[in-house]
Amino acid sequence: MKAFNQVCLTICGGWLCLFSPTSAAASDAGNPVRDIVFAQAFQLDKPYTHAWRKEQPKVSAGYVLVLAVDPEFVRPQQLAEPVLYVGDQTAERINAGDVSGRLVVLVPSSSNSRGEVALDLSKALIWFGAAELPERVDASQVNAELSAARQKGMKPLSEQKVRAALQRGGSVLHLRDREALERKVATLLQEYSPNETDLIRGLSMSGR
Amino acid sequence: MNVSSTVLSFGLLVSSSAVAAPSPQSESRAGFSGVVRLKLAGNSLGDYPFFEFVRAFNQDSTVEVAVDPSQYPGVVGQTADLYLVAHKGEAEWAADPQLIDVRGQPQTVTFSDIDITNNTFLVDSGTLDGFAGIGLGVPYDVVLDFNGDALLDAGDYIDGLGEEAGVYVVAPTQLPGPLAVSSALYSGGSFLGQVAYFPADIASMGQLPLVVVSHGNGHQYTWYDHIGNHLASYGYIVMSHQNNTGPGIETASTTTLTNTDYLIGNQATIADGVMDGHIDSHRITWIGHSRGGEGVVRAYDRIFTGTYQPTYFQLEDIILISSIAPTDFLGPTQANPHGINYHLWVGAADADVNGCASCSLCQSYHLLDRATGTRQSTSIYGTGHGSFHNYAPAGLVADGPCLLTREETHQIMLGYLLPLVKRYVEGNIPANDYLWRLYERFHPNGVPTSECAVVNLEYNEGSASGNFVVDNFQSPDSTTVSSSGGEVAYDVDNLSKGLLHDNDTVFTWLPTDPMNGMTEGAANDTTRGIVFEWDRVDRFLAFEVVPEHSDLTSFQYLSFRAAQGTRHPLTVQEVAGRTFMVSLYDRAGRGSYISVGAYGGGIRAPYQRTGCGTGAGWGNEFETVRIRLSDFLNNGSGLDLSNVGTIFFLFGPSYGSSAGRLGMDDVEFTLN
Repeated sequence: MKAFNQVCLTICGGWLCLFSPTSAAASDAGNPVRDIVFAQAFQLDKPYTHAWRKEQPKVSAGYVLVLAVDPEFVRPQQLAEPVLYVGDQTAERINAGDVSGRLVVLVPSSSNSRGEVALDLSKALIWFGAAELPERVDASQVNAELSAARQKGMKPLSEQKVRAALQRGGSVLHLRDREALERKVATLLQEYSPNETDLIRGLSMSGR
Repeated sequence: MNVSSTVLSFGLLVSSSAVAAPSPQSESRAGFSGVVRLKLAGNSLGDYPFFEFVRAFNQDSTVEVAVDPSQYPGVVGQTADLYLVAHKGEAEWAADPQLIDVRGQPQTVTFSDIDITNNTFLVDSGTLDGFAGIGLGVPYDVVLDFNGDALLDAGDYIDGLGEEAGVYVVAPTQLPGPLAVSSALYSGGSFLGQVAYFPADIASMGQLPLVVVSHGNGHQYTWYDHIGNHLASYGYIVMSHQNNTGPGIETASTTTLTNTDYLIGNQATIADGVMDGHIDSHRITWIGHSRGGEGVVRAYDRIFTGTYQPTYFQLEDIILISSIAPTDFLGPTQANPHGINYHLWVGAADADVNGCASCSLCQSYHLLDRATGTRQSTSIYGTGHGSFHNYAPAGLVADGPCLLTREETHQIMLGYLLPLVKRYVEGNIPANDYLWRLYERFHPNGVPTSECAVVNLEYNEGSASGNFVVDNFQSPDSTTVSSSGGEVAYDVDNLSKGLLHDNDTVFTWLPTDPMNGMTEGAANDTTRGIVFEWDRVDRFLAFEVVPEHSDLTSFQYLSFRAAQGTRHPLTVQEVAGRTFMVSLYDRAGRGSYISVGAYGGGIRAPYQRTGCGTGAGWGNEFETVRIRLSDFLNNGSGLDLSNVGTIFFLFGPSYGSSAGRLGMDDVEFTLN
């Protein structure tokens, strides 16, 4: 954990600054999000509540992503952690990823007029913003973070990477509910972060 | 104990003189006329008062009996048969007053007029069995049969007449209980994944208390089977659940609430209904770790304030909350235990919720000081954040010297958790001793006792206890008036009164921050206390006991909490416990003096962790010291407890440690 504190000090300049409004990763070079390795759109018959932002919207569509990340950066802690943003949305972090370097996340999205998941991953910034409890982050905070990221030159991941991730993900997942989605996520964790056995076991049992 | 006469500003003359001792009080209840009820069992001490009367004795430890001839002059020159008998309630004694010694035969003792030490007798050398099944403590009564008729009758002395026994012998509380344990892993849906631990033979049992465990951020609900198996082996149902800590405390608190409801509401179908009908939903304990530790407090607060209505339980059903290294994101209004029985675990080597002055939300003690009910803490030096769960790959998350292993932490944790839960859920009597008696003299038998194993305990019964609070320092601002309206006099150096909150971002000592190292309150909390120091010169701090409260005969203990001031030059110059004298003076000027060192190692040195500024020493670790008021009467002190005028704290070369800096708070007389 000492190593983690040192990382924090390097990034933020001290414990207190975990609450500073500056983004933890302002440029691609220092972005703890290194790659997108898997992306699959999902649609649910029964929406769930997105607890990872203040407005707590109901979610019936979105993406499940697997991101390659700096494992030290995502090591869980009890203090406020950098919030992961995808476009104009906060992402739900499913796993720790501090050993595997793979973070499985859920990104809510609206649907377009054709009923498809609207989020365009090739245009969306994916970055860690300021440390905060996600349940406190509202639309204005998201917009401020997005503006700050753009001002600092943050770019979307390359179309090539996104395309490859989408190819790995395959077609849209049509599932009944959140529990079914969690069971799907469990299979992804088994593949991408297999050390998190307790989490995998819990998710694979969801609703059963 | 060379105390010279001192005239206090409020007119009391302090000197040491003696008067005639009080006579014993006889029981006059029907059936027990002439039987004297008193404390007899305890342990010898090396210093005055030379004996401590206690209730709990560890299995394999000695049990002694003492009578102070100055308080009970009737025993002088008398010979008695000393019986150790199986405990009986009043009705049972009335029905059968026969004395049958559990050791096979009584021992004959003769009392002299010398002092309590010469009237102390070894009763058992550690042979008594403490196995109480799923209970805690085997109860015994001690009887002095003066007329030698082997009956409890007039003229006899007894320790234990009534509901409370005189002696409880307790088996090691960190060891598993007698019941085989089963567990079930199941899910009710998203964030309703649970694992339940329960006695394997639950079908033959009645309703069992429920303990709910809410894990911390990045932790898993399956990482607490040490808690689950331990408590289930003593007859509890323990459920640990998926906790949605990632979004924050509010969401985590919701998960605690919904999971508690889910288990109670679906017990008929969960795990094939094995727990159906066996969950006592009116005796619920919530335990939470880190964000989950704050979450359980927030969950209680939401019910308390009416913003959340559980389906299958209500506020009164929550008996106890225990937070393990909790965060404090939400602050005084929401991370508030209110009047619940509240307990806090702190690992002084915690490298996550680290307690540094720069990080308000990682100062766990905030939650403790907000609690208004009975509150207590167990702080373990050398224990990291990850030491509290059992998932080794996640590491200890510890920083500091003298680290304890996960196993060592768990021994201490389980050893204290069982009495904690037994005390509040079942009203177990001997369990209470574990919550406040100084670790260095009393702890679960077999837990680590290495130099590194330092445990500090705080214990306070809260505002509704009926205790007389002499000074909690909340008001007024004046340093010469106590919160009870009495006068405060002192010549200790640099006394400062204020919020128990480190006012800068480091533990580095700076004279401009007198509350350095205090993490009991955030900047927007209200908990207050004092700090002061002494340096190679005798000093005093005195509190007037206002006349309307000068009769202390109905109170049991003088209680206060104190902590060393971290990284202060007077602390750093000798990293060791600080001892001093506590004295009571009656209004006739008769005093009695007891060193806090008599009961343990004094106020322990801060954990020698570096970081958070320069120097070594982590936050100021308060510990509660409770001194039995009757101890002040030993050996003919002459103190009149019915007319006490002053509490003296005496520091310096004549009274203990030659120099030091202390924080102090909650000076009070307690009923229990």
